[in-house]
Amino acid sequence: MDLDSNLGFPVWDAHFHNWNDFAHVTALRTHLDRHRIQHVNLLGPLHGGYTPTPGNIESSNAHTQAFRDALPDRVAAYCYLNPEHEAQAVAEWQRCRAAGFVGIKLWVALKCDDPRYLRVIEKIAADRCPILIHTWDKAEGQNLPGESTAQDFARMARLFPETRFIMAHIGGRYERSIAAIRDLANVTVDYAGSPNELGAYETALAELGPDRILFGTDVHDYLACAERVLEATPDPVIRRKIFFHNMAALTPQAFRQPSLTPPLAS
Amino acid sequence: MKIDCTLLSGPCPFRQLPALQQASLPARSLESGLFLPFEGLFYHRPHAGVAVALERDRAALFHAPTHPTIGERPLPEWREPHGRVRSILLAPGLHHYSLAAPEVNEVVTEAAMLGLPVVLFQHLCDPRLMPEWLHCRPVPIPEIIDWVLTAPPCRLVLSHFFPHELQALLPAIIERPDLWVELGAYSGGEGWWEKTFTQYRGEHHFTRWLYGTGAPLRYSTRLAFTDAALHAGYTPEHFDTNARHCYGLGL
Repeated sequence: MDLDSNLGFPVWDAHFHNWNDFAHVTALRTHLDRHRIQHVNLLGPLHGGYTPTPGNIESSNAHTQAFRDALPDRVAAYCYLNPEHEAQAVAEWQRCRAAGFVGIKLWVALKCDDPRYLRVIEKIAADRCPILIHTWDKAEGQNLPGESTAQDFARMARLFPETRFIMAHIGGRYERSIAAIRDLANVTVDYAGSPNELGAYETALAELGPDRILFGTDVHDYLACAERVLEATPDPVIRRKIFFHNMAALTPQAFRQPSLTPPLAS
Repeated sequence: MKIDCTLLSGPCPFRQLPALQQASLPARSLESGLFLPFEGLFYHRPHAGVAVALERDRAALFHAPTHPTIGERPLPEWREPHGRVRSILLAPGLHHYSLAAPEVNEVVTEAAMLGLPVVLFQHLCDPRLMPEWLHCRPVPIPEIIDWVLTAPPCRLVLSHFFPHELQALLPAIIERPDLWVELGAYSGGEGWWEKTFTQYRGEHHFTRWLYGTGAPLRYSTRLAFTDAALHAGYTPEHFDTNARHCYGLGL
């Protein structure tokens, strides 16, 4: 692999935040250009801590929209919601959807099998946009009160078989989390912001196949995250799927112009 | 860059991972670095675990976890120039002792006499995956600073530290001329390695870096590390040269 970060095929980072060093558009543009990342799912700065107010949600999404407006051909905007505020969550998604947001981001305010959560999903699922949910299977006792495990996630995803979900971070402890969602065809995983362990992508490929895995960094080191994919498989078709085409398949209308990429060789 | 100074091996008591299966160890190039055996970390007497690892993987090079306060000392046979124990590794957070205990510097002195460096090992894995029953507590930074500045002459290595901890340890790091810093297990996010290399070299003339990841539980990859190093003006060979010098590899 060339050390100037050119993988030789397009990259779509499925999990990124406009926070810390990337709180300004210039920094994001520089990062995308340096590593030749074609697209990025921007999940927002997640204002307001673990249980954001409606105001926090709206300000977070406003920041995301500003980045999307500045980089309309690079940024896919995801709408951050807190299902604790059911009515506001649905209204906020409708507002963001009208503004061109293409997916939903859910974090740790509530576990994803909470009734409020399920009611919000039921209302927004009709738009058929992917729903990316923070999921982490931590060692005993460490999960936040509203932090979903892979088992919570699986229970929820099973209730909405027509809705496309993204289980973020591969659920953390990949050897257990992947097993929890193995049989759920509506679930794709990203391995972003996790410990980036050797073996995670390999296990995902063996258990889920090449079409249900997304590349993401969660603002961790891009090259370290990318090389894990390269280590996991030498197959260029599978690499392209993970780095780009699987995400493109989930949100084909994300950009005004189709991505100028060659078709995936079969 | 070929040498990874810390690779985990053997059965992990809290994760069942294919990458740690015994059968995979020979396939992990024996020229790729030094192994830290889980047995050495989790046996009641670490040296018993080291002996198991040495017997099981007869061509690999190892760090030897050592518990000073239960009477363990570097073994004389480890002096061999081509021996397979290349360091004495202290894990006080896992084994629950203080660096201020007098036995610790007794071990450092004996390690130095054998020509072995002493590795201070801080965080075994991502805390989110560390089970509660291990009661693994990181060593407080002031305790580490005191120890670094007063330990007897010996090559010392800081291994598996978080970025913010290394920043807090910076004065001690640049003060001690025989101290090495291993990076690769953790990162401060996009661009952190490059910034760190540049800062330490430009402001403090510090170049005693080692590459060590704690694979497979670990974060870094060779490409990412090499890229950061190149952008900061290093060559990849720099880290291998440092590893050979620090651990006496290839001598």
